[in-house]
This record gives sequence, C-alpha cells and structure tokens, in this order.
Amino acid sequence: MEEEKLYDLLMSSPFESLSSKDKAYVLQYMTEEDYTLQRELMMESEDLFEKEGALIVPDLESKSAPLAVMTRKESEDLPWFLAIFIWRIPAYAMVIPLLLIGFLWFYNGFKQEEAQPKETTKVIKVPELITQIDTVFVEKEVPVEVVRESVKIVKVKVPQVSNSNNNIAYLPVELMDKSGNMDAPINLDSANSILSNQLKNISQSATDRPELDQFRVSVP
Amino acid sequence: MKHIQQRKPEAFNEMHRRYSKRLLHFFYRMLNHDEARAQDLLQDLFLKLVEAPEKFDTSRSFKPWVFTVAANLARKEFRQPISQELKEDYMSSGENLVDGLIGPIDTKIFKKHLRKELLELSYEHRTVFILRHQEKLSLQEIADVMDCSLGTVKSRLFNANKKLAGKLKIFKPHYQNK
Repeated sequence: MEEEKLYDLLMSSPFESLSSKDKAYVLQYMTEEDYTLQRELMMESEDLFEKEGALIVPDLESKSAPLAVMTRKESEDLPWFLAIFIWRIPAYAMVIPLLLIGFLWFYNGFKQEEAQPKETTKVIKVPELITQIDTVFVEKEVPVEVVRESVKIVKVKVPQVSNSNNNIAYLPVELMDKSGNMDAPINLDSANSILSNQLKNISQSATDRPELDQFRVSVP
Repeated sequence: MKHIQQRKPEAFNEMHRRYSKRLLHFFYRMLNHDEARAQDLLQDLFLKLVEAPEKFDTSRSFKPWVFTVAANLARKEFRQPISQELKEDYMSSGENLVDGLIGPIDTKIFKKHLRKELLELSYEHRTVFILRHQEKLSLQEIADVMDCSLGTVKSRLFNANKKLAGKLKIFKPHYQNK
C-alpha cells in the first residue's frame, strides 16, 4: 500500500514541492536523495528510450508478409473465378511457360516441314465452270370448259305402205280419229306425208346446227 | 480493427504505421536488446493479427489489447537471467548508441548502465517499467495489459524504479555525497 502512495508522490512532484505531511511520509521509507534519484531515473529512462528508439526502425518484412497473408485469405474467401484475378504470380512463373510454348511451336513447325514428301507431278483435271444458266419453266393454267351437247335421236318405225303383208303400219296418234274411235278408217296418204315431214324436220334441225357436226352420228 | 476484420489492406497499413515502431521498441527492450529477434516477433505479431482478427473484441480499446498480445509473445521469449557474456555483448552494442547521444559525460555513462541494469529486471518489473516510461501507457492501460490491479502496477513500478536507482546510485556521485 505504501509503495502505491510513494509511487504516486514520485510521479506527482519533486521532493521540494511536496507538502510537509508528504515529506514526512516519504522520509519514513527513503532519503530525499533516493527520492530525487528515482525521479531523475524516470526522466533519464524516458530520454534514453526516446533517443535510442529513433535509431531502430521496423523491417519492411513486418508489413509485407502480413499483407500477403491478408490478400491470400481474401482470395480464399472469393469464388475461384474471381480469385484468379488477384493472384500474384512471380515473373519467372510467367516467362517459363511462355518460353516452353514458343519452343514447342517452333519445334513442331520444323518437324512438319521435315515430314513433307518429295514433290511429284500429277495431272488433275478439274472441271471448270464457265457459266451457269438456270432454266425456269413457268406453268400457267388456262381454265377451259368443255361442253358436250347431245342430240337425242328418236328412232321410230315408219309404216311402209306396201302390198306386202309383212309390213306393219303404225299410225301416229294424230292420224287417229279425233273422236278416238279406233274403228274409224285411217287415211294412209295423209299419214305418209306427215311422217316424211317429221323426218325431214328432224334431220333438218340437226344439220342446221354446225357446232354439232363433231357429234354427228350416222344412223344406219 | 473492424476494417482489418473486413480484410481491408489500407486498415492494416494504418495500424502498422501507428504501432509497428512502438511494438518493435517494446520487443527490443524486452528481448535484451536483440534487434533481429525483435523484428521477428513484430512480424509474428502482425501475422497473428491478420490471421485471426476476429479474436479482438471491438468493444475494447485496441492499444492495451495489442500490447497484451505483444507482452505474451515476449514472455515466451524472455530469458532471465542472461549470461554475463551476452550482457557484455549488449553493453558494447549499446555503447555506440549512447555515445551518439548529446549530453554530459556522466549522463552518458548513467544511460549506458541503465540499459544494462534494465536487463536485470524480472519480466513483470521490466514490462511495467517499459510500458510506462517507454510506451507512455497510462497506469490503467498497464493494468489491463498485465491483467492485474492498479495498485499492483504502481507497486511494481515503484519496486522496479527502486531497484534500478539502487544499482545506478554510484553513477550519480552528487547523490552519494549528500
């Protein structure tokens, strides 16, 4: 306890400046000279430390080595594709692979030149294309309508007026009696003239139409 | 430190700028003025910080925490007592440094021997003395680093001071004559 108080007094003031009470307290444990020597020792020590300290400076290694560790740790925390951008590679680590690649490149080129066979003459016919004409066919559709017309030819049996009994005369209806009397006598002359007129009309109507020539049929 | 936890190199650069020299001086003094070993420990310390920044509680103050890590590293390497031969080596290496200082001859001699006598202090006494008088940490910050009470820090400081003064008294004849 007394050491603490003595130290406080030593730090506070020189012996002459102490109060009479403090002087009395100090003198219980040491002389005035010891007190003054201890104060001077503290001051001399601080002066020595200050002046000697100025002559000692930290090495650069104390800074660069921890910084390198710091950077490495930073790169370890990064994903690999980002970490490669902060790698520090020594110059020789760059130069040696480049020299190796260069050497291999030249060496391979030299070997390829050596491996080439001797030149031989060979005639190769190469078809030469002078011009090229493209032919293009254009198909065009023209709408054509074919119309077929038909003529219905009615074949009728014409009653022949003859003496032969084999000929059967068919009378047209209009030749019959108007009254419908089947028993009334038939005028055959009139019937023949009517029939011939009818046939004439039929043939005439067909021949009067030339567009129907292609469909003309000869009736046996 | 939050930015270092987010792996920002500029944050590390800033931290290095602020603390590297102070931490190096702390290691240098704690490791019997072995500068090469102090440089190695400084690098180890920063490597620890960047490898596991999450170990730092951002609600705490950074300075006491980083000196706690440094003190723990130094404790592993701390050699006490050192051989007389090694002590002489350190003395001779320090002579050039102290000779370069401006001041009266008796002060230079005093400082030379102060360097030597610092090596005689125990780990606890040397740590509190260096943290207080070299790194200018407050008593509370030292208590946080050493994980002890404020009273213990004052007590250790007083005892370290008393021990050094007892050894160096002969180099201050005016105090002896009185």
